[in-house]
Amino acid sequence: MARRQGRRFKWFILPVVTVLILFLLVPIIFFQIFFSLHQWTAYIGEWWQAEFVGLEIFADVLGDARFYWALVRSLIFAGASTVLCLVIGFMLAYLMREPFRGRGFFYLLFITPMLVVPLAIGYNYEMLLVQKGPFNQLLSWITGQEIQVSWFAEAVPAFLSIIFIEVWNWTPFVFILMLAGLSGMPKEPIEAARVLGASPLQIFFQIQLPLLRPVIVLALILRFLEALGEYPKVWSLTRGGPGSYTETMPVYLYITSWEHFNISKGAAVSYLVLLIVAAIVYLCIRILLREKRALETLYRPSA
Amino acid sequence: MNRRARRRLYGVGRYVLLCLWLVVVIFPLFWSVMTSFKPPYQWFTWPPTWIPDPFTLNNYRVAWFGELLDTRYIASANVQTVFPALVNSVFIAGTSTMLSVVLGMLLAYGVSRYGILSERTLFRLLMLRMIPPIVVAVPVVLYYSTIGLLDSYPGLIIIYVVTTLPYSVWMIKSFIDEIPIEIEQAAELLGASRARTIGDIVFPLVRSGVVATFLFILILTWSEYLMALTLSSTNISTLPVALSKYEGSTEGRLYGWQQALAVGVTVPLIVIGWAIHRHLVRGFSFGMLRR
Amino acid sequence: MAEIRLVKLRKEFKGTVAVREMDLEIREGEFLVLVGPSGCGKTTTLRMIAGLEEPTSGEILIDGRTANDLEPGQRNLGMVFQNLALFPHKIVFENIAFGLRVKKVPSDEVRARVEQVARTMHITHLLAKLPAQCSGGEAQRVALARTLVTNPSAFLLDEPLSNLDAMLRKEMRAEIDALHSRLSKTFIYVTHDQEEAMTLADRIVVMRGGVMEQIGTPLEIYHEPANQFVASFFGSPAMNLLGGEVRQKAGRPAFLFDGGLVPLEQLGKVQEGPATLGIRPEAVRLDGVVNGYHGHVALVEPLGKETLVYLNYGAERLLVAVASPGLQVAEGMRVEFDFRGERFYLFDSEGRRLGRGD
Repeated sequence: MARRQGRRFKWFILPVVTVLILFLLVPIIFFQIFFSLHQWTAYIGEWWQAEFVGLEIFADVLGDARFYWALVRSLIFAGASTVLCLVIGFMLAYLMREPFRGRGFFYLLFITPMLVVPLAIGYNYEMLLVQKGPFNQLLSWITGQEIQVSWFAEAVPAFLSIIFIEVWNWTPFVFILMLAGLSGMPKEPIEAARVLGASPLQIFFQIQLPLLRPVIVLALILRFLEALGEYPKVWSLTRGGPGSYTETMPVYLYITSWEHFNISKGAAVSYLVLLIVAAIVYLCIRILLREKRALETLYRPSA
Repeated sequence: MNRRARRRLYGVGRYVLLCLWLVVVIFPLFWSVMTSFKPPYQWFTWPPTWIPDPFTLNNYRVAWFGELLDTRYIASANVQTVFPALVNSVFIAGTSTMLSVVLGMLLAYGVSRYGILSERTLFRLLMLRMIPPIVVAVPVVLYYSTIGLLDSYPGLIIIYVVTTLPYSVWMIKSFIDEIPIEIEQAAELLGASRARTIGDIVFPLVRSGVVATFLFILILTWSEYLMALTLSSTNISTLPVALSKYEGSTEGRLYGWQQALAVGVTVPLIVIGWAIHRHLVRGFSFGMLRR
Repeated sequence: MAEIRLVKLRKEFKGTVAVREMDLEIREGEFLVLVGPSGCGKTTTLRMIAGLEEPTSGEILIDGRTANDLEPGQRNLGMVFQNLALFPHKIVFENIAFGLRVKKVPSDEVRARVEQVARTMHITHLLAKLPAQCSGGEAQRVALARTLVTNPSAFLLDEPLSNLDAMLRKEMRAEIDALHSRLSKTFIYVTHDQEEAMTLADRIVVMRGGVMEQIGTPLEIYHEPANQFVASFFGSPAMNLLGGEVRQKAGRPAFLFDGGLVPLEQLGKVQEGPATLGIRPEAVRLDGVVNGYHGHVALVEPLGKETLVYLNYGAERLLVAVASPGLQVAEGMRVEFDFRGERFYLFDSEGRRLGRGD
C-alpha cells in the first residue's frame, strides 16, 4: 500500500518541483550558450539580433590573464577561508562539546556572525579597517607599536582581510556542524578507550576524528563551494581593489558584465565557470555519497 | 598534579580560548552598534571614537524615516525612504520562505517515507545551491526581461524558492527521519488515513523543526543581495539593496546612517537566530551524522 | 595481583546521593557481584573503581595505594561495558589491539597476542570484520577479548549480558565463569539479575539506594538475608511475604495472619507488633498436610521440572508453592498447606530481620 501511495505522491509533487527548477535552469543555460557565441553590446539592438561569432569570445576569455587570475584568487580565497573556518570552528566545537557554566551564552554569541547580513559585514569592516581606524588602533595597543597598516591600499593585506571576513562570517556554520557531529558521537567507546589507557590525544586522533570524517568532509565541501561564489562581502569591502588584487571570480564577472557592459564576455566567463563548478560538484557528490555509505556500514549491520 | 587540579586548569584554558574568539566576534558588532549612535562628527575621527558621546538616535531617524540617498543611478535622482524596501523585504522574504518550506516539506516527506528521490539526486539538489549566483545572474536578467519578470515580485521569489529549496528539503528531511516510522504504522493500523496520520501525528512532532527551518531560510532570503540587486530597479528593492545606497555616496562616508540601517536590518535576524539555535544542530546533519 | 578496597566511598550528583559511605574489601581473585535494582548505585560504584567517575569523598585503594588520582588508563583494569562500546570504525583485530597499540607495543607482539586471545575466545574468524558485522554474542566476545589482551590485574563488567537474549546469556555466563576460573583474577561484576549474581558470584554485595544492604556468599544471602529487601530480591519465584502481627498467646509468641497462627517459640524474645513472615515457595508443603492452613488454588503453572501453585488463603492473599510434578492440583481446589518446621523469616514493619525460625 505504501508503494502505491508513494507513487501517487511522487507524481503529485515531483512534477511541480521539476517544472520549477527547469523553468529557470533551461533558459539560463540557453542564454549562456547563446551569449557566449554571439557578440552583443547592450546598446545596439535587441539580443536576438546579436551577431554570431562562434568561439571568438571564448578565445578572448581564455586568452585573458585577468580571467585566470580571478579564478586563482577565488580558489585561494575559498581554500584558505574554508580551512580556517574548519580549524577554528572545530576547535570551538571541541571545547564546547561538554556542558559547562556559560556554555549557552557562548553558543549564542558564536553563532551570531552567521546571522548578520553579509553586505552589512562588508560595510562594517570597511569602517574598521580604515588606515586611521579602530582596528589598527587596537593592534597598536596590543603590540605596543604604531600599527598603521593600510588594509585597502596594499594587495596582501587586502586579500587577507577578505579572507578574514569570510572566516568571521561563516565559522559559525562549521561550528554548528562540528558540534552536531561531536554530540552525536557515542560516549562508551571513548570511555572504553580511556580505561584501555589511551591519552586524550590518542582518543582524539584514533576515535573521534575518524568518526567525524563524514561531517568534516561535508563542511569542507559546502563551505568551499559557497566561498567560490561569494560576492557581497568582497564587493562591499574592497570592490576587487586595490586595482584588481582582490578580484575574485564573482567580482571579475560582475565587473565584466555590469561595469564594462560586456555581456557576451560575461556569458562566456560564467559558462566556463559553470563547467568548472559542475566538475567540482560532480566530484563532491561522489565523495559525499561515499562518505555516507561508509558511515552506514559502521552502524547498520550488513551481515 | 591531581585530577581535580588538572581539570580546573583545562577549564580555565577553555575559558581563555573561548573568550579570545568571543572578542573577535563581538568587536565588529560592538563597533557597528556604537557607530549607529554617533553624531556625524564622530563617525570618522582620529583617534577613533569608541563610545559615542553624546548618544544620538538621529541616525536611526534619518536612515529609517528620512530620505535615502540615491547616488548610484546617474540617470534619475531617485530619492525615496527606506519604507518601501522594508515592505518589499518582508513580503519577498516571507513569501519565498513560505513556498520553499511548503515544497520542502512535501519533498522531504516523500523522500523520507517513500524514497521518491535517490540519494544521489538529493545530493545533486544540494549542489544546485552551490552554483555561484553570479554565474547565472546575467542570463537570468536577460531571460526575465524577455518574459517580463524583471523587476517583479514573482521573478525574485521564484529565484529564492529554487535556491533555498535544497536547504529546506535537507533540513526537514532530517527532522522527519528522527521520527520512527513505526509510529505512523501504528496510527494506520488503528485506522487513521494517510492524511490524518500526517496531519495529526507526524506534523506536530516535526513542527519545531519546520519552524526552525522556516526561520533559517528566512534569514537567507532576507539577507540576499546579488539577485535582489540585479533583478530590481524601481518596483522591488529589498533592504540589503537599500543598504548599498549609502556606499558610493559623494558626500563622504556616511557611517552613522549606514550603520543605523544595517543594525536595523540585522537585528531581526539575530533575534530569529537565537530563537532557533537549539534546532540548528539537529537540522544541519545532511545525512552525515549517526542517528 | 589486585586487592581493591573502597574506603568511605561517597558519590553525589547534583543533590542526589548515588553512593553512601561505602566500605568494601574486594579479595584478590574473587568474583564479586554488585547486585540491586536500577539506581542503587552499583554501576556508579563500578565506574568509580574504573576511574570514570570521581568520588565526592572517600578513597579507592588498589594494591594498597590510593588510586583516586589515577586516570582510568593508569589503573591497569579491564572493563566491559553494557553496550560493549566497541570502536565501530575499526575492524575486530584493531579493536582488540587498541589497548596494546596505545602502549606502543611492537607490531609483531601485538599480532601474536591478539591472535592468541582470538583463539581463546573463538573469534579468529572475525578478526577482519567490523563490529557492525558481528552478532550480539560475537561482539560480546570481542569486547572480552579486548580487555583480556591487555592483561589487566582485575576485570570490571557492567551488566555485560543485559542486551543478549536468554539462551545466549546462559552461554556467555558460563564462558565468563570459565574465564574467571582460568585466569584466577579479580572480577567485579554488576547486574540487576539475581540469578546471574547467584550463579557467578563468590561473594555478593546487595545494594539499594546507594547503601550496601548485605555482603555474603550466595548461599549466605539466600538463606540468611539481612532484611526483607534482600530476602525478597533473591529467589525465583520470590519469597512469600505474609503480612500479620506478632502477639503473645498464652505466654508464647506467635505470628497471626489471615490463614491462622504460626508459633514462634524458637525465636526467643520477640516484640509484639505488626510484622511480616517470609517463606520461600519451596518451603511450603502441599503434600499430605494434616492440620495445616486452608486455602484454595488460584493458578497452576506447570514448568516441567516443577509446578508452581498459587494459593489463596484468608482474604484473597497469594502464596506461591512449589509442587512436585506428581502432585495433582487443579484450579479452584481446596487445599491444606503448611510450612511449620521449614525455614521461615520474620521481619518487622521496617523490614529488619527479627529472627529466623526452623
